[in-house]
Amino acid sequence: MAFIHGKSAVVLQNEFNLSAYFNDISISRSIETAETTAFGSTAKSYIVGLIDGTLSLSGMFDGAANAIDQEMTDVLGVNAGAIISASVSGVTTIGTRMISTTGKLTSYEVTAPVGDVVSANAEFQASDGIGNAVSLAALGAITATTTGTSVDNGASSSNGGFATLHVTANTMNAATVCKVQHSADNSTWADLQSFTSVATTVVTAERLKVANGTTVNRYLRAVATPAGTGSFTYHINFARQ
Amino acid sequence: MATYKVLVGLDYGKPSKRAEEGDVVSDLPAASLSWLIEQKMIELVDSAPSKIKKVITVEESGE
Repeated sequence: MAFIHGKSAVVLQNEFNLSAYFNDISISRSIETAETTAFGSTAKSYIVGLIDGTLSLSGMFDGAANAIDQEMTDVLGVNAGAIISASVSGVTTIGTRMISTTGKLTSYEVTAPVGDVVSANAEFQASDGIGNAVSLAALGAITATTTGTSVDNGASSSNGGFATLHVTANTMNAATVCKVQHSADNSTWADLQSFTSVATTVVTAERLKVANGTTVNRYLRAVATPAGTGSFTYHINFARQ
Repeated sequence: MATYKVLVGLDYGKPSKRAEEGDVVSDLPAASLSWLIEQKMIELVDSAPSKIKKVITVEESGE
């Protein structure tokens, strides 16, 4: 057993690493239940329904370009929401457990007390639930084609999932292609999900759904293929369903 | 040797080779064939041809 401290948690929102602005993250998952108690029962019985989730982020206000205030107001009222990945353990190394979601910003609050730092608090409603993800590419820069080491889930899963890409910096002078591959034998790899090609110098984020009912094999890995020269800073995770 | 049509992009072998959707290949690792076929990632195009003995008969004319 290894307990972890929350001081180094990582929060990626769209193409931005907003970790430096937040000092608290709260992830809440829930599932509704429907009562099936009938006459003659001695105790209530239930069946489970739909999964739901919310995400709360608290931190310090910064009104600079691409800082917390701009990034929160940019997604306020935007139906597409924000692509959010977070690691409470503070690392995004391959194999790390993370969360990923598409969050609809439901509230953004800025507070300026006379005796304290100006704070910012955001609440997100997860759409399609909060994914229990695993990192397939640590947040970091590459300069050439990079194939991540494989992550062993122990078994395949059969209900699709979500592949998430965050590109936080990009000086490549040509497009970069990122994808998630899966394998049943850790030897031959099939493309599972390919992200939209990332054009030169573009920073972006994308969360792609692998359809329900799709087999996701036991092993997963990420591949990033830059066509040009420069530096490409990215992170990829995958959440099985 | 059997040949297979690739239905999903694949990386295989050492050193790693790449087969794109639509490619026809004959060098996929034998150990991977079963799950690739089962998951409809490849389909058999041509099984290994059987050896057929060809017999040629020459008829001599009586002239």
